[in-house]
Amino acid sequence: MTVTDELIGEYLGRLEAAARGLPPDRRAELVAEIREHIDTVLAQSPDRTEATVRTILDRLGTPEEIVQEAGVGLPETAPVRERAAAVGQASPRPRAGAFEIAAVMLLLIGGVVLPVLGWLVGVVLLWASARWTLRDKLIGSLLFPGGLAIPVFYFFFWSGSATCSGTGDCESSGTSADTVLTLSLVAFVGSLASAAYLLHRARRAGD
Amino acid sequence: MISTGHAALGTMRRMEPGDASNLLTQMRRGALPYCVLALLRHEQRYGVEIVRLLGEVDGMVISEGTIYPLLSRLRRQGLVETVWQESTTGPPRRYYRLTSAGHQALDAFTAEWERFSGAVEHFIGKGT
Repeated sequence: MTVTDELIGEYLGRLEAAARGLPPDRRAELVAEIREHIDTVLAQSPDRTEATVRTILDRLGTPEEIVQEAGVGLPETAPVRERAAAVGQASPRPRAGAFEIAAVMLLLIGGVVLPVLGWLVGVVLLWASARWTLRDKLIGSLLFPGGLAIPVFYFFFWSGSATCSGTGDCESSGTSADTVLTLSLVAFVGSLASAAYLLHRARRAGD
Repeated sequence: MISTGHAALGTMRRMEPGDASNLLTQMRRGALPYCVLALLRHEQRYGVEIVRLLGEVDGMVISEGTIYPLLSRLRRQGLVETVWQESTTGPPRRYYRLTSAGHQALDAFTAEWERFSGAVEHFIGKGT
């Protein structure tokens, strides 16, 4: 690697670092355009000396200046947060939004509306969100899998298989009615508690 | 307290020497996109060519690199589009050309600019 290659590489590296607040496609585009500029000017230069390369880079301006210009147009399409990020500030964790609420709702009642699949979609959303930690995600998906679908299923299974005598006393054919009712209740309350926990965590992490 | 009083005067405050250069910076910044569009009015050009033509005129561009974010913004706004073309003297070039929306934006600005600069010139240019 020659000195001139090193100079160009270092400049583009600084540009890439300065542009880390830009959306990935915009950053890639900016770096590509500056690289093209350098290559084109070099191809038209009589030589490729260190002085020539330095002049080209000097005329381009500092990477920070270029990135600042790139951040100017952002508010047209993006909120202020992205603009702040574009000038080099750290971007905060994204706020809990419709995405997180949808995830929790699907985890809770998705399985009731669309057995198994509805809940699975909820799990996918849960793991896709940046709002929850690994621990939250494990709790959300493993502690009460199926959400409200499980107690609802238990409940109907139990009442469906129960036999009632003429005197009005009902008895389940399999597991005793009390056990099924208790398990359903635990799963019911547990699912609600798990959903409430996830919503709480999603909100708190934004502060 | 004195400074608050000054600020409260708003547009009535005294003009500072720095105000003019600030205003000119803002005007240059605002006019630059239209100068780029104007360079593309009759023909397509590649990035280095645009940068060079702007640089030839004194007082237009400070840092060449800042033209590229500007070009990319014009493209996102649908005022210019790009095409790749091979070159005999180096890597393939990204050529920029005006879209019909770009032509419209440029024509609208040109008309307003002629009226405005004519009016300013009327008062300032005479020197009396």
